Amino acid sequence: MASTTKITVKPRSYAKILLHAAKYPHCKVDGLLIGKLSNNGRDALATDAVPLFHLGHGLTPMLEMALSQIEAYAESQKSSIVGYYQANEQLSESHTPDAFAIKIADKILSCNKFCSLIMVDNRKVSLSCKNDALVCYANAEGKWKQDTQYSLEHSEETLSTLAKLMTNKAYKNLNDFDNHLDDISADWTNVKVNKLIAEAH
Amino acid sequence: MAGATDWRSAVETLKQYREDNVRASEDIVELGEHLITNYRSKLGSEIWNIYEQIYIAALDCGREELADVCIEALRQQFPKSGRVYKLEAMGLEAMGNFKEAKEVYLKSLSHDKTNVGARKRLVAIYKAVGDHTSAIAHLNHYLEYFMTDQEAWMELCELYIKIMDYSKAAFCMEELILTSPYNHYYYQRCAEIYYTMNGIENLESARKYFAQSLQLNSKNMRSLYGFFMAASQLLQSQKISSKSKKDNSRYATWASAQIMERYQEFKSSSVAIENLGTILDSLTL
Repeated sequence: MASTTKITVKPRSYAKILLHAAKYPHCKVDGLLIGKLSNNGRDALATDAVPLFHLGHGLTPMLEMALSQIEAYAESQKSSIVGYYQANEQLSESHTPDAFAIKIADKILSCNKFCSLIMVDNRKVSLSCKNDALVCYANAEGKWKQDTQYSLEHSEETLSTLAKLMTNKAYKNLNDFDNHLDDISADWTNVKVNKLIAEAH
Repeated sequence: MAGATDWRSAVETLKQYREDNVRASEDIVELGEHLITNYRSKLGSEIWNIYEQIYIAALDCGREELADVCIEALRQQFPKSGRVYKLEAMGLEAMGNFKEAKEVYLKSLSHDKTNVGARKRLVAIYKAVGDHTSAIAHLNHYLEYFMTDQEAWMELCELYIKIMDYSKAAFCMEELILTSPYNHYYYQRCAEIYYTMNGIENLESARKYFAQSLQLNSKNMRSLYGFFMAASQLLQSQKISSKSKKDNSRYATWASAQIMERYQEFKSSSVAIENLGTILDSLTL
């Protein structure tokens, strides 16, 4: 489908991806992007991110359960799953999608009109948040290639907001699906962190 | 933060982290730095364990100066100690000097083949540079001699999952279950691997292992969800007998009710939870 879809990542999504990575710096972390398609599928807006796991990657049951729940949640917000993000453990070559990222992104793409595969470039992650640390891939004829159409909304403001959040250790409040499975009172929609992000803006 | 009793609870917390082998580096650095700066005299002989713990956490957090303080104190107290050499080599690893670190470990091993710490650090280096094949080979070699090392089996299992060799990963978990048949987590992990391998037999194994995990710990949410997922998947298969269909339908219904009960305990109005009932129903169709 539309390999020419232009994806824009909103501040809340960007913040949550990086906060997730910061909460578990020694682990691989991943999650989903939720958002809307518009303009006949030519534009995609990633309005939110749902952090999934920091443990037990490569296994399917919890991932399948999480996908169903998050799909339903997205629908209730009049949105859909528009992407998958992953931050690897190693420092070097961290932004290349591995077999798992590709499998998951392929699976999402098969159930949705569009899916963006976003990797975190660990070398660009820092407390000062000087650079956009995301590398975006789009699917073209079955292969995932780097996406030149990706953009981060209000990038300067978004990065400085994130720097504030990092200094205040906002990532300690972030819940991923693993946290939820450990304690089901943990809210994976992260209402609290959404508020912190909005206030730091 | 200071207070006469505060330091005692900080010491307790650090001790708990050591016993549980938790990688809470940020916390350890914060608590530890405060302790060694302000309460060093009160720590007694425990201070050496604490220095070691803070050193490793400081490396994790990029706090070089703090790490230097700790390693210097350890060097003075334990000159020519193998354990301190290992810590110094970890410092090299933290800087990305894997080649030099590897040489230190290999040298230690040439003097003492049973140096477990050095062997494990070698595996860690292979992991860090992405050489999973070597990491696996080394771990397998290690386990030939130290076959009761649960941490090593868990690590090997993870490495096999990384290279998608699920049957070998399952083997590792089965070994762990043999040595610790009352560990609900091992059954859960084993079940997740079988579920991932897919196919009727594997899904049935998955369901059984999830059930065993739940028997040992009814609060294990992953096992409850997993049990539900396995039964639901089996239900959808064309190849199972009608008796099996009936059984799995019963299992799925039971699990679904259990899941809803757990969530209702919170009386949460979160949209996410409202949808849960519908989702569970749709998965069993």
